[in-house]
This record gives sequence, C-alpha cells and structure tokens, in this order.
Amino acid sequence: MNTYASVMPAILLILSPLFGGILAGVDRKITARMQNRQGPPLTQPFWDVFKLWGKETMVSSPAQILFALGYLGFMLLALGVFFWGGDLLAIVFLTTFASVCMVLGAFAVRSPYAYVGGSRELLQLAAFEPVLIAAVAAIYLKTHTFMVSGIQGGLLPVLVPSLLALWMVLPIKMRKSPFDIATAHQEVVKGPFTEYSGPYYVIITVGEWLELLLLLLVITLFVANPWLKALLFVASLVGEILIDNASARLNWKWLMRYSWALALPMSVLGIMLSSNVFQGLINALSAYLYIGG
Amino acid sequence: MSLNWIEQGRLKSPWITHFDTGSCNGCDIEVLACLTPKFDVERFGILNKGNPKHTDVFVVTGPVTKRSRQRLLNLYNQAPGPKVVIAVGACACSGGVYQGCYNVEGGIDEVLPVDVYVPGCAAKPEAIIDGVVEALGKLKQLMLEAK
Repeated sequence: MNTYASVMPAILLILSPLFGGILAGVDRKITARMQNRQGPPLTQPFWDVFKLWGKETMVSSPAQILFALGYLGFMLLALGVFFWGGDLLAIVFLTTFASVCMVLGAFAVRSPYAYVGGSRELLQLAAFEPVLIAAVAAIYLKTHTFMVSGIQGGLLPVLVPSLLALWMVLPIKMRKSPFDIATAHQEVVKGPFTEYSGPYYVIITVGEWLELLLLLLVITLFVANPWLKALLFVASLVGEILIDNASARLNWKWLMRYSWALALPMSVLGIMLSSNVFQGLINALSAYLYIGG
Repeated sequence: MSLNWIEQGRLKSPWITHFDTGSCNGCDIEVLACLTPKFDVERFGILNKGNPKHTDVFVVTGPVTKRSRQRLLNLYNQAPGPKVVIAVGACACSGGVYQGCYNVEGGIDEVLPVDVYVPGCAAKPEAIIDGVVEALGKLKQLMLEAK
C-alpha cells in the first residue's frame, strides 16, 4: 500500500500530458459536434504536437524560450503538488507564476501583437486570481486545511457560491469565449503566443493542456464521491465548451466588470457562508431580539 | 519505408494561413467557406491560423499587387519549414483578368515558389480542398524521397 501511494502520484504526473492532450481533443470534438460538423479525431492534438516538434526552429528572442519552459515547469510543479496531496494555496501560487512567466515571454519579444496579448493576459490574470484565492480561503475556513489530501469533499451544500464563482471564471482562465481577448484570433494574431513557433510552441501547448486539467481537478475537490467527482469534471468541461460556442468575445472592460462585480462577490459570499459569518449574525440578531423582546 | 511520427503529423495536421494579395475576395470567401460546417476541413486537422509562424500551408489568393509583394515575401520568410504554397484562383495562378496590368505582378509564382495551383474564378471549395490534399500528397512524396 505504501509503494502504491508513493508511486501513483508519479505515474499520474508522467501521464498528465497524455491525459491533457486527450482532454484537448475531446474539447475540439465536442465543439465540432455542437457546431453540427464532424470535427477532428480525438488524437488530433498529439498529431499537432508531433508536427510542431519537427518544424524548423526560428527564435525571435532566446529569453522567450526560457519563459515558455518556466510556464510548463510551474504547471508541472502545480500538478505534482496536487497529485501528492499538497497545499492548495501553493498550487494557486504556482499557476500564477506560470501565467506570469507566459506574460513575461510575451513581453520578451518586440512584437506589438505579443505586447497587446501580454497586457490583456495580465488583465485576465487580475480578473481570475482574486476569485480563485477567495474560493481557496472559503475551502480552508470550512475544512481547516489547505492540503488537497485533507479536503475530502463534503463542501458542497455550504460552498455552492464558491463553486459557482469558480465556474464563472473558468472561461477566463481557459481563454475561451466570452473572455478570450488575450488570444483574440486574428485580432492580436495569437496574443502572447504569437512569436512562438515549432518546438517552443509545443511547450506552450502542453502547458495549456495541463492548465485545463489542473483547473478541472481543483473543481472536483468540492465533492467526495469519485463518481460525483467524474460528473463534476465532465459537466464543467461540457458547460465551458457550451458557453464558448454560444457567446461572442467581450472586451476587457466587460471582463473586469464581470469578474470583480459578479464572480468576486459570489466567491466572498462563499467565504462568509463557510466561516459562519451569517450564523454569527443570526445568533446576534436573535439574541438581540430575545433580549429586546 | 514508412513515415515516422513527426512526418505523419505533418500530413495529419496542416495548419493554413490565408493571405489576400489584392483579390476581389471571391476566392477568400470560398476559402473561408471550407472552414464552415458544410465542408468542415477541420476534420482533416486543418486549422486556420492567422499567424505565419504557426503555419504549414500558405493559401494565397489574388494577383500580387506591388504593395502586397513585400508583405507576402515577409510572411513567407517568417514561416518555419517545411511549408507549402497553394495559389487559389485564376488571379493567383496567372494574374487572371488582371494579367498584364501595370499594378500587379501577375500571379503568385512571380514572387513565391508555388506547389499547387487551384484554378477557378472563384475556385470552388471542393477544388480548394482537393488542392490541399494534393499539396499534402506532394509533401508526402518529398518526405519519402528524402528517406
């Protein structure tokens, strides 16, 4: 049992790019079916990666390679911390480092498209991070632990607002409509990823796969039952794809308004519910009424 | 003698960049029609990437006007190899109705090495898809010969 427990996380980590690729393939297939067309085969992202690996290497600036590796490295680290049952707050900060690496990679090249994409990616980061941190804080207040291995689910009836808030910001993190202004196709060419080509784009692509995988896994922490976890995973993915196909792109002002005026209060409500702030208020109110009456 | 995974990937995942060098947009509309659910070229792995650094196949329309010549060369040089050029439409093949005019070069092969010519005014989406398949066949031939 001990060797199983110590080997399983390592195996999961090594297989995670594979699973991430299948997830990306499923994403494209479901998108295609929703648009009433056939769509690529499920293994298409892997063929994309093989092709990109064999491309001629053209580098705009050597610094961007380092930042791309930083992006992938921090994502792998975050997934590793998750699989080993580690600190959820560490996972959040590692994904933030990864996103900042990506933005620095965008700024490392003298390209106006990459510059605009990088600035927009920073905006998306600013929109997404407070909601995630508030959700993690709510989880801590309910379960009194940050450790993934300690959070055994059972959060759901109380922390529904936190789950809703995470669902609301999932499109922002995944750079999908209506919040894909950072990589607005053919508006800023490819945004922060414009100047990456060939093997270096493989690094970015695999990092994106892992980002989706990690986020969906964090959302499954809200329930304990493995079947419910799988259901939540699939439902979040399908729901995000549905919203992606059904909406147009919003500009950055709408992004900030949506996130800070809608998703963040929802997440803070989750904190209040988990820390029994309302219970305390009700107690105080009933005590006052009782004493007063 | 079979292809390794990278070479199979090149055949299964051709990303296109479409560039208009002065066309009337007829052929451009037909190229974009290929991406719609009716013809759905994404099932062949074809993605329309606007970024020359991410592209394998250049789908070029229009007779090359003097101004777009430099931009076309710029885009072509930015694309990492291996890459394929497809000239779509009569204007791209030979200048079309603008052949001999003072403001156009007259066909893309004056500027770039073209691999596949897709005639038509405007070229039908079926013909464009046929052209892409032919370009991939040519790429496969080149890779097999290189072995």
